[in-house]
Amino acid sequence: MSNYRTLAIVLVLGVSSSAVAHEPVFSLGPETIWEGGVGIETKFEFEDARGDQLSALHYEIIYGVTSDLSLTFELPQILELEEDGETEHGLGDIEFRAKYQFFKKDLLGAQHKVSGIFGVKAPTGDDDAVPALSTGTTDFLLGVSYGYESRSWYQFLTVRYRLRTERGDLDPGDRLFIDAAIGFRPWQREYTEWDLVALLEMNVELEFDSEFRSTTLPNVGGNTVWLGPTILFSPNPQWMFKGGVQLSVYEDLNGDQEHSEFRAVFAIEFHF
Amino acid sequence: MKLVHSLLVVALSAGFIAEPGPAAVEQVSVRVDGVACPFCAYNIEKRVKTLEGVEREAQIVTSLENGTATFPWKPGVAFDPAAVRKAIREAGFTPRDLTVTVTGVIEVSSDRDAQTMLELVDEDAKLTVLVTPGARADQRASWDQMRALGLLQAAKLRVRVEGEVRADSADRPWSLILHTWAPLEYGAHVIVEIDDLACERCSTRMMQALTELAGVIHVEADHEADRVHIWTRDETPDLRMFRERIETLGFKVTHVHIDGR
Repeated sequence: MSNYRTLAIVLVLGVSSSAVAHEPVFSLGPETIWEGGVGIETKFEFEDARGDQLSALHYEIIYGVTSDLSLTFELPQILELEEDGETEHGLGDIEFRAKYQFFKKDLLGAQHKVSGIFGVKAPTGDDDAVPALSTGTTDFLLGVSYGYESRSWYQFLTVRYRLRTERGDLDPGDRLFIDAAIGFRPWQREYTEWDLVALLEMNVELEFDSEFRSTTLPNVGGNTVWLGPTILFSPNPQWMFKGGVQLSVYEDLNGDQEHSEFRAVFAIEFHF
Repeated sequence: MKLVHSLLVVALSAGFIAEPGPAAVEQVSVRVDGVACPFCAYNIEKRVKTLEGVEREAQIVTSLENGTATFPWKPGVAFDPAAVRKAIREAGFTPRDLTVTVTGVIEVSSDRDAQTMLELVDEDAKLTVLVTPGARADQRASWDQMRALGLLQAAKLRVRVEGEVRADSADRPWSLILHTWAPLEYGAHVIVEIDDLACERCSTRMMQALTELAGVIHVEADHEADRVHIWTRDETPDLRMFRERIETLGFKVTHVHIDGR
């Protein structure tokens, strides 16, 4: 069953959670970029599951078609994927996402917004490697995200569904993500000044049963709840540094699987 | 009504009065809803700098506390409030009131206009009132004195403004502000076509009479087109009332309609 554990870890790479501006770093939020705006982000991701480890860099570029519609392209580079003593590295599965903000209510110093999210992940990574660097499938992402941002407080609620297509005889289970975050800005800053926002993120990840030749795999799938703090720091209006750590506070995994313990993200974003 | 303006009444003959051109906008301040953080406010700077009237090197001063973005406007470029609002929307926010610092001439046709103007023009603005023929010469007067002299009742004034003018969201009145005076908010724009409106003195009398009607905000006469423009508060004013009032003054009304309907 170790190959399925590998598969489960690799799929984490496909669960993109790159953020834009003040968004949770372990999820996707409703933020879009201004019309004609471009943002680039480099994100370092680390996850540990009792010895099995993943470290990866994600390169992301976002473009604002309009202020309501943003397109994102993400290229993951797996620095090291270790599983059962085997390690591998290389490019992972690329992902393209579109985010459309279909509701927005602006107030003085505050904003409510809701966006729909659509994504496609292509199997560009090496799925013959051991461990595999790709799911070998084309997967789809559907989601909706609500966000409230004010000068003092932040609230986010996002629901994402990843539809995973079949790969030969393997029918991997779909995944459902329910993400919530609250945050606050301890010091209210003016334009051109540095700015700091702290978030507390909670992510519920549900993975449905996978099947191999119509037989349910016993050691794949299950539910995990992550919880941890995130810091968003912008030294000026063009740069933002983001970092977050999370612990697995609840797990209900099927069969015999290594338990996730810890994950962390550090990202740098620049927009122009 | 604010009466603390510094008013310099320069009474000139018609030959000495320069034709009023569009007022020159020197600075624009727009109130913006939805701006909560410095990182997001950068959107405004990027989009505002795409405007024709804003230099790429211009300093965009954004106040998160007040929810405003303030920037200089390039000399010689016509101010376009709709474009400013569009830029704010493209930045992902909602534009609200606009305030511009202007230097230029606007026309005041009635005391009602003058009152509205005083409400919109900042207290610190300098107003130079250029009085058209018929007004008394060499007068330095306060606004109250001018009213006492009847200048605001009878004469069409040209007021040079150097200071801030505020307005809210309607685009059309904004463009009118910067060329000639007109009401800022109205429900309907009524156009009355009259058979021969050549007599300016008569039309002035008619404009005064129409201005006194309930619900009328502003009246303007167009002699060349033989038309009278009436702006009303109601969206569906009683057109028959205008027709009857004008005909009692001896004019023949050929057609009355609401603009755009």
